[in-house]
Amino acid sequence: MTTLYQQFNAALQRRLEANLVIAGELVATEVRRNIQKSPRGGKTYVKTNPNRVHKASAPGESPATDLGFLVRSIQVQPDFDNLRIRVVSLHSIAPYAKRLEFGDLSKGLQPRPFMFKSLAAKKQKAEDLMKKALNAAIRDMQGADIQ
Amino acid sequence: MSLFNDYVKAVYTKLNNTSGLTGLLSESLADDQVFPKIWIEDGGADDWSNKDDNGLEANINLHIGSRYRGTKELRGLMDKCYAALHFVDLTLANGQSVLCQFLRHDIVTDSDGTTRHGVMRFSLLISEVV
Repeated sequence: MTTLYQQFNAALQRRLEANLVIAGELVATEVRRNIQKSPRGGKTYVKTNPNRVHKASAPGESPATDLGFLVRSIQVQPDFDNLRIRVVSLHSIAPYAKRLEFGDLSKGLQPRPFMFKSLAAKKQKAEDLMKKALNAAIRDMQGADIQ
Repeated sequence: MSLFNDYVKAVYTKLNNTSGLTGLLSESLADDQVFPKIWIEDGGADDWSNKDDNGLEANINLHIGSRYRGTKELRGLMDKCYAALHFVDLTLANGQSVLCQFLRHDIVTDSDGTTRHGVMRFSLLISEVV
């Protein structure tokens, strides 16, 4: 026999986990969109293998995509035990992501922020999602039999 | 109104007048190798106006570089920046600083493997009303 508390806990856990993933994907999508739609106000480079012309981003803009490694490195990693979701750039795919986000003082490289910028843009929406999930879990329990 | 210039100038002045930080600051990130150094990055601003007065919700990022072996020097400088700015009234030439609040910090090692790089993010509310 489950108590009302256990039923509520299960309903809450279910709702929060589902919405955590949505919130994470919301931010990750914004990160990817920022990279792919970057204004590209920087220098133009002629590159080889494959032969191409790449127009880079200017300082302060999100990094401009070239071969797509940075976009592909953006992943969502759920940590349901701690009710947390991480949006990460995998080091094995794009080891230069940290330098782009924070800049590099040793080389005089200015930051091309793409992670925190996206989080700031979608933070409110993600918080609203979680609030709605909590309210939905409470609604689920309305009318439940008290054991 | 020149709020856009004033808040950066106010942060610069406040930090430059803080003991231990004087002379370390710059607004441009030159390719010099003089460490420790602090670079003020303008993190952009949103509108914070009401129907009567103009205002800005601005972000300032401080990039602090150190080549000290550990993070002691870097953390010491971050402590000083925090004490100088967090919940402190900044003096603006026009308008007033309603709030200056520390948001978060990150420490990374730069590509040369020796430069410790601290990033401190501050949020500011600026109003044109004095």
